[in-house]
Amino acid sequence: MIKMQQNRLLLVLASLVGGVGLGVLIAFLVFPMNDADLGDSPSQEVRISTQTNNDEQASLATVSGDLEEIVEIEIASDRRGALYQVLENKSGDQIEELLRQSLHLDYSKNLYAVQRLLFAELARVDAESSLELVWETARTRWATLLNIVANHWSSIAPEEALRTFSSLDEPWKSLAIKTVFQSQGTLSDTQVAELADSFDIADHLATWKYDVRIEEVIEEPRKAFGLALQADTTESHRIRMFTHITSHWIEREGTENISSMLSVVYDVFADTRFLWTPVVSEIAVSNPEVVWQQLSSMPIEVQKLFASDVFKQWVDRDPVTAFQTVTTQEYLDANESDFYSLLIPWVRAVADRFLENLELVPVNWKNAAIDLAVDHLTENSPPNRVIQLLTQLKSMGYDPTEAAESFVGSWSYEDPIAAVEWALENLDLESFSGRSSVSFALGRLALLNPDTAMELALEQPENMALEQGVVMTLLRQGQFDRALSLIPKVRVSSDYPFSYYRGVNLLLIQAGRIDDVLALADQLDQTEKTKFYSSMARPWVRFELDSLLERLPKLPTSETRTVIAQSVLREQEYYPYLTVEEIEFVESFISDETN
Amino acid sequence: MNSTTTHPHRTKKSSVYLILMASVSLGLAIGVAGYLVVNWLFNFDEAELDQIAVGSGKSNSNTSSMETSTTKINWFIAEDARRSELHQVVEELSKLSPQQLLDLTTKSSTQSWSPHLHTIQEILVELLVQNSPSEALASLEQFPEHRRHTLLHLVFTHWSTTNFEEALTAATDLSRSDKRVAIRAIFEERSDLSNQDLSLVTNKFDLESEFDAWEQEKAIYGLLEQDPSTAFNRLLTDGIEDSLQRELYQQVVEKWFEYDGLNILTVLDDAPSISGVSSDLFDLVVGHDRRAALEFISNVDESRRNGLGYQVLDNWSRYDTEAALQAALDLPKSTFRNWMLNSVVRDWAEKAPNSVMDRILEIPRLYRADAVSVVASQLAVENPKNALEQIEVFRSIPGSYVDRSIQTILRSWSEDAPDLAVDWIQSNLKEGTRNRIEALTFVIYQYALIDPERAMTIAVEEIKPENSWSALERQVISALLGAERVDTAIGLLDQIQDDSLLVSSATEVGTVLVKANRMDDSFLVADLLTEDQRLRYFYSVTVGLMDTRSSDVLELIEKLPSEELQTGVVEQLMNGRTLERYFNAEQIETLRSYVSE
Repeated sequence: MIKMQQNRLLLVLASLVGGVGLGVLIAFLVFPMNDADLGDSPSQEVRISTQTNNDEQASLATVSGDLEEIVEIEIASDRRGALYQVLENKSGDQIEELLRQSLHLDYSKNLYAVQRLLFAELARVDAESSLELVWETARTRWATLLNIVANHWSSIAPEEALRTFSSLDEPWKSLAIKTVFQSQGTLSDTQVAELADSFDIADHLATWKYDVRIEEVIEEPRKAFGLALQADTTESHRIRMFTHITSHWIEREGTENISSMLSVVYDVFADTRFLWTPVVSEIAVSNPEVVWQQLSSMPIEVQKLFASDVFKQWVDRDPVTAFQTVTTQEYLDANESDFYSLLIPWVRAVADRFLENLELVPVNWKNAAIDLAVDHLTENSPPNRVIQLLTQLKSMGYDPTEAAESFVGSWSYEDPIAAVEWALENLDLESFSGRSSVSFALGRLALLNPDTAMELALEQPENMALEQGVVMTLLRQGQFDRALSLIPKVRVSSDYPFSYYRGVNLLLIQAGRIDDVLALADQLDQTEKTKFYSSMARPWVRFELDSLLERLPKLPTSETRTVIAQSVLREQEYYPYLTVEEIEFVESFISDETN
Repeated sequence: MNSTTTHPHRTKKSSVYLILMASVSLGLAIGVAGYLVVNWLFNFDEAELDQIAVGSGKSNSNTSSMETSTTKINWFIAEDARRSELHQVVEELSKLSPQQLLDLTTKSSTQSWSPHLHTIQEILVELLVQNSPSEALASLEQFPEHRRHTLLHLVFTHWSTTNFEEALTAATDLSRSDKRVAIRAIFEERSDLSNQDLSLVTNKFDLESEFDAWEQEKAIYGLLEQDPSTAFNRLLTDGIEDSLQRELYQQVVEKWFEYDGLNILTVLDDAPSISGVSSDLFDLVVGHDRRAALEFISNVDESRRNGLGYQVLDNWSRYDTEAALQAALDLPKSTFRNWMLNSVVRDWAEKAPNSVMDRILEIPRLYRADAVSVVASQLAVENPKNALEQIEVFRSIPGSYVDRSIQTILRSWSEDAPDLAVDWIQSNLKEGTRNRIEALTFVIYQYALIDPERAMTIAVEEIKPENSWSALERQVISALLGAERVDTAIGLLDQIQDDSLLVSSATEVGTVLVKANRMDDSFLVADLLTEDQRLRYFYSVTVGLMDTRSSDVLELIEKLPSEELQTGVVEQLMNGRTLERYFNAEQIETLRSYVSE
């Protein structure tokens, strides 16, 4: 009986449990949790189906319509809210498609604002696609949109963002990487450094870190300049840091007390090599005349350091007043050694009217001004204008020889034949500098047409040694075979062959062409051969020591071995190339032969 | 009986079935009801949480509204809000007062990072702009620059669509970098305006240069795909500040690189230097493949090879010295390779002296001397005496140039303690040797500044016939003149024994005196010289003055004590020299009057 009652109780309990389970199951199927949740969801209001692929196209069509409506919404926050609602439960592909469609809409007010939001949201679900779409917009928008993508991508997956951005072209690479560094919050400093190393963007990280540190101390210019000076960074970045610090400084301080600013700059920069230039230029650029006046009342050492940078800004604006100020006798007496640095920007500023302005130049500086003007004209005008200026100068009683020689050098890069012909007719070939100019121009010609260059060189007197210049130019350029083919034509002056031999040996041996050197020696008579061998010792021992030690015993005659061994040991007195054992080895060739 | 016996059985069966049905039904009812209760409870909790987090927005109390909004923001930020929740944020924040928005915006500027912080900030600023763009602008002051610029962009894009001219006015009052961002945002947003309209308005606000830069940017983009070379030249000559066009230059050069590859390196090298940009452009091209760039440069015109090569290695070795070294080692044998290797090894020694010393034998022998010398100078900065004690270690390295390392250390030491450096030389280096004289040459200049008398005595005593090539005495005089102690220098001249050194030192002094408007004193210097020396002296002084002080030359010659000297000096001046280069016609005539026909 008791057992029967127990069975009934068990049955009741089991049925209840089963009933509860079944009830929950049925209730779950009839009233799922999601439905309960979605019941209050605003996404219902926009009625966008996200259920099946089949539904997607229809859904997108509706959304596209919605998008245009959203763009029409005047109030930004309403527009944003509506867009967020539209995007709710959207997949990456759907947002991408929406964004893509928006890029094809005609421009209307607020379209860009909507697109920016779409870029941001797509970056959070499918950053790669978002990035790809940036490049489909107008270039003028790339920086803005890339910044948005980088910002949002870095919030979700900074490592992936850095990896992708590290392979972009500049300036997008730097811009995007910097945004990630600034915006990400999940990676530690160590992780960022490791990623930077592995993606080969350590320089970007270093640059950004310096910028951050500068920003921290930007209100203290002395400290900020000090940081920028010590930074292990590129020249361009250092200049940008200097300019940024200075510009912020000027905005804060105004230009009331330039001299105290220049004093700080002097303290910080006096021991550097011209690193103050971007700083002083930035200070001077807005009102150089005032800055010049304030500088003039400062200690002489400050004036000497900064005068040319301030003057350069001034002369760009008002070359007449600026030059008048620095050409008074009083100024010249006090600043003679620095005058040349002022002359350079002035000549450039008045280059178009140089002859009219030449009379303003103090007598002792006229030739320097002429040289500068001709150089400037050579860089910026056709040769006939330069020749015209040279002729005019000559007719006015000036001596433009150095300017003409310099002009030939520059011209020979463009048109070596014309330059050589003009130089042969117009330069003083008796003077060393005149010969050097012709030789240089012939060298340039040799690179284009070695045979013509050699012919022209051989037409000139032997003592000009122009053909040596032709050969040396070819060797310096690494055109060894061409040079070697012309060497037999060279008229080696017995007066000073050493520099020629030394040059040939140096260039051939550095290129490892020992056989060619030895072959050249074989073509010389005995006296010349000795000179040639002794001149090959230095480059051989310096640049091809192993070859020297290997080949010295194999040289054909004992005399050759002795000459070279002696020359090598002489070199050793000035520069210790050899070990003790090697010295003994080389010495053995002298003692063997002399005993 | 059977029936009786079956009834109970039947009754028993129906009873079990009944119990089963009743229990299952009850269970079903409990299950469904329980599920619904639990579901309702969960929904209730969530809704309640939302109420707490979102805040009613209808509260009469600003403080309470503020608190709930802050809670909401914190909640969204901390929980990494789902996209589906963002519109609620917008909705709720829209209900806040301008002051509350302002406070929240300011507060968010110092909020620690979270995935949606920036989005929330943008919503806040957007709401502020709707109420008052100028207040929105003011609220950005607290933000760090990079965030401020992003939010500035947002402010001005909205502002420019609601009140274009007001936006421009506001932009012109900003700091330079902020102004640039604001103006750009305006131009970018208002691409619906014609150039003419934009030009008219920008002229009105004195923003012509910004408009020109914007127009130029668009023009460059027009050229970019077809003709980057022309685009580059246009940038060079457009008169717009180059530093503001850095990114434009970079785009042009990237595109150009696609067309012409590394060949553009030489074109960039020929282009005028662009401060703060040129080296970036070079690095940009080289950065595509530094090894290939180095190889390419090894074949460009010899006159620019080294300069370009150093630029490649300079940046490369900053981040990866070993790769740079290997690339230089892999170059074909050439003068260029030697220079590049020398450069990398020196950089490496400066950057990591200990590492270089550990691996010195891996460096080709030719470059070890330089490496060791750089290491020595690094050690000397820390402690010159200790550095000198390391000399024997250096000596054991094949290829090291110990004497040069000693000189390097002494030079460094002499800047701080020239007397100690001189003592060390005199105690440790053999008298009369070349090493000793060369070492003294490095330190005597500094020593002369602290004890000129003894410096000159040492200089004179150290000179022996076998090292007459040295010019220690002249170093002493040069040091004093460099320190503007010309009178001390004059006082020491008579100690110089060597004839040519005496004349050259006296010339140096005499030239300085004339330039300092003390011509009469330059004649006193001449009194220290013999008659023959005097002619050389005056001639050399006039040569030193000729370039920039031709009138002084004439005055000096006029004052010379004898006609013989005058004639001698002028004859030498006229010998093989183009006088027109230095003197005007009148001066030349005067000079000619000193010499006979």
